[in-house]
Amino acid sequence: MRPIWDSLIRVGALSLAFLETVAVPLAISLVVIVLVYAIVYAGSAKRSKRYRPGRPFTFAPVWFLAAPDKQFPEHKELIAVAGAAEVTHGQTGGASDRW
Amino acid sequence: MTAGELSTVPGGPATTWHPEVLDGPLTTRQLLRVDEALRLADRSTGLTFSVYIGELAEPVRGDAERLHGELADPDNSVLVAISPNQRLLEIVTGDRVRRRLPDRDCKLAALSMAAAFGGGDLAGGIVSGLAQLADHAGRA
Repeated sequence: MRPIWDSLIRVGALSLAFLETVAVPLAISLVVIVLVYAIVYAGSAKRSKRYRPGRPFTFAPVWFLAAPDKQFPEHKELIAVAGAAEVTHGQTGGASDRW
Repeated sequence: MTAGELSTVPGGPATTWHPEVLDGPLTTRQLLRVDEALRLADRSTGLTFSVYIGELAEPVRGDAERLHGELADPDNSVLVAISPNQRLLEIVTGDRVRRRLPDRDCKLAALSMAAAFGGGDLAGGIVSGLAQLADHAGRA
């Protein structure tokens, strides 16, 4: 028992104030908790920027195509510049809906 | 990534492509799902499917048809135009597409999409709508 007591005195363990022995582990725990909260909050904040129908749509219009380079040819511009009549195509069909 | 973003405004020519699609309304995972749905629909039907998300000018149907007309081959194309702020969607089919994809089938897909949008699921509605349209159009 004696050697253990000596070694505790040597490393200064017995000279620590009660506040120090409590505050250090408490501070470490708090830092870990805050870190976890920050990571979780940052993740949800990032997700909330993504659009869900019903919220105001503030993004620039987007147009998706499987092969944009083939399906949006540049000759459209040339036709417009040349002042040609609108590209003729037949009647359109489809449907409309609201939500 | 093959699904591109065309930054444009209704009424203006659409010519410039930006990689800013990642700042758009869809997450990267949702973009990949939409991309996959578009490629599958195109490949299985031989038609051109496209999805527009943004404001539509009045008259809405006319504006959607104008956008549809900007595609390379409108007669063989299908445009799904979604206006979240106006809470409406338009499906425009070309002249030749109409024979394979009657308006009734488009209405069914539109109903399904509107239900998903009403539930707050933009990407899910687009993906299921495209799948339904491609399914009804049949194989090329």
